[in-house]
Amino acid sequence: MMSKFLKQLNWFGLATGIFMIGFGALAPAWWNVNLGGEAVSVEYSPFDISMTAFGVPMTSTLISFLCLGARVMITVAGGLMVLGSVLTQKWWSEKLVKFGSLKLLWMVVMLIIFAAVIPPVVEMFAGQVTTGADTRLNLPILAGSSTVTAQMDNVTLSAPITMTLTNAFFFAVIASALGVVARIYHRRLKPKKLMIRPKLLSLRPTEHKVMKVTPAEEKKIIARPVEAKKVGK
Amino acid sequence: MGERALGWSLTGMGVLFWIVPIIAAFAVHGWDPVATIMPETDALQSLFSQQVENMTETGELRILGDLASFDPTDHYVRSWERAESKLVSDLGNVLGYVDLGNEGPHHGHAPTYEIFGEAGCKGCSTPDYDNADPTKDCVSPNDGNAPVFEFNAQKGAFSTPLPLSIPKIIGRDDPTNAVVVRSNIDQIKTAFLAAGWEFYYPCEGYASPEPHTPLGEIADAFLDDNDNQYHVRIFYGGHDDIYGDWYYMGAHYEGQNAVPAVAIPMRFSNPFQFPITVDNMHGDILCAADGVKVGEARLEHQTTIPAGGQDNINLIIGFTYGGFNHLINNHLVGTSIDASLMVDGRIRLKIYEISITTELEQTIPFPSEISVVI
Repeated sequence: MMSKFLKQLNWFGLATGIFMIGFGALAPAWWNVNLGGEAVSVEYSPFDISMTAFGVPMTSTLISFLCLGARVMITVAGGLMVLGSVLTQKWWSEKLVKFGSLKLLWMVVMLIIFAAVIPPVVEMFAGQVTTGADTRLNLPILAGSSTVTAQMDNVTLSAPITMTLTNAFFFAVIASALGVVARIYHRRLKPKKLMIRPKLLSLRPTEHKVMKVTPAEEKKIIARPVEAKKVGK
Repeated sequence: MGERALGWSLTGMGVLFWIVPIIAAFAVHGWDPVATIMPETDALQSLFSQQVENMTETGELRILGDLASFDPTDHYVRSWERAESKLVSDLGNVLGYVDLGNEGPHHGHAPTYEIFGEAGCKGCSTPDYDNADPTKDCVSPNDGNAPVFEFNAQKGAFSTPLPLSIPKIIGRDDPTNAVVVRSNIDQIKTAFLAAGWEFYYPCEGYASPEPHTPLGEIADAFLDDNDNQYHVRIFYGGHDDIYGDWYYMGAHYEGQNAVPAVAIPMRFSNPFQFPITVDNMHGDILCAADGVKVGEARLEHQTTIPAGGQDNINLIIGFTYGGFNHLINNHLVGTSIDASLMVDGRIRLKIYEISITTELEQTIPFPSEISVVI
């Protein structure tokens, strides 16, 4: 009984769900950006974005609320993922797993796109914003370090910029991959829908009978002549 | 039916997790998009609303080394051994070597530390200045072995053993690192002049074996070497039946003329809530009256001013020989230099790791309290 239960578990989904709940609960930073040492510091994750400038924390209400929403969502989705991965034989389990399986993946992809797009955009606008200044940014993409320089009149400003992907990000990548695998693996676990041809059963073409069977029952059905009840008229 | 309803519910929930925070954020700020989207910058603005004017206050220029007056004819010793070797190569006639018992480093005065690319004193990281600190071992050590010369017309008359028992001169800061035996002062003078050296008696026209200066020397020999010179002080040693007259020589390689190392004290105030590091300062020192470059300036050492605090920093000025001569020749009034100096350089501040480099222009009068005695 126990063995059967364990065999029916979606282990990948279970692991993904636990990761998701962990991310929701802890909200670790995925990406760190430091400008001028600790002068300007940004710690980014989809669940929490904290920014400090010269020791002063800076917050945007919209971003804070969005992060909070993402945090609650990933926690709820993680919980549903766990539920769907444990009770794989329930008719709703696939829906729950599907709901949660790609959430982290999208967040990872969004971070990568964001981190890849932001430096060129910033470089493009920096020249326009700092009129009269010779600005050289050379921002790294996603991870790395460089030096930002700006010269205006007699003042030269130079600051190192460092971008780092944290271990949490790589855990998120692993969890995303597990989520994809869990989504695919779940198809093997769910009760299969057996479509019986109407001709064979002399049913009207529109009256399909969908039966939910386990893999063991499926074997039996295949091995013996079809005995399906006629439904409808 | 149930599956479809569940699917829609989950999709709706996913959408709500995005929509609700957005609506809530706008609602909190009374539907003001700027206040909702932009970070609150009040704290940051107040951080930089401090007065940045009058952050620095410049004090009076002062000579380093606690000197009441400055004598530009002072010299600083660079090396004893180099001069000793030069004597041997130029004069020849070395009979051998004796130990005068003055092995080891001797006090000397190094040029201003690192201003002109000089290494400064060995073993100490702080600047040393002419006459500043005689306790520092700033020059090459003396190996204690002194060459013994003989300039007698009848060379070879003197035979070994060498005069190992030549008495040592004690109580002098400068080591005597050469000996001349069986020669009189005229023969010594001839040897120096033949090698291209200049030879002077301290009192013009007075040649005598008797010491007649406070240092006890009877003659000086010089050889120019660009900004440096070889300088040999010659002392009368005595007369002996074996050695005849003998003389001690104190040979050293020295700077041509001394220049004062001066400092401009500056008081730096930090009005901000974060520390500021005065990381570097350097520049040219110009004579304000005619724009002639008279030296260079640099920051004595990096200084971090704490948030809301104050600290003193020193801008060290190293005059060039030509520059200081310009001041003496053109602006010396009595014993004072009547001129102002202009610092034309750059200052680099560091806030966290952000470097801010800007120009520094400051005019400082040469203080009349500093007397220059020649």
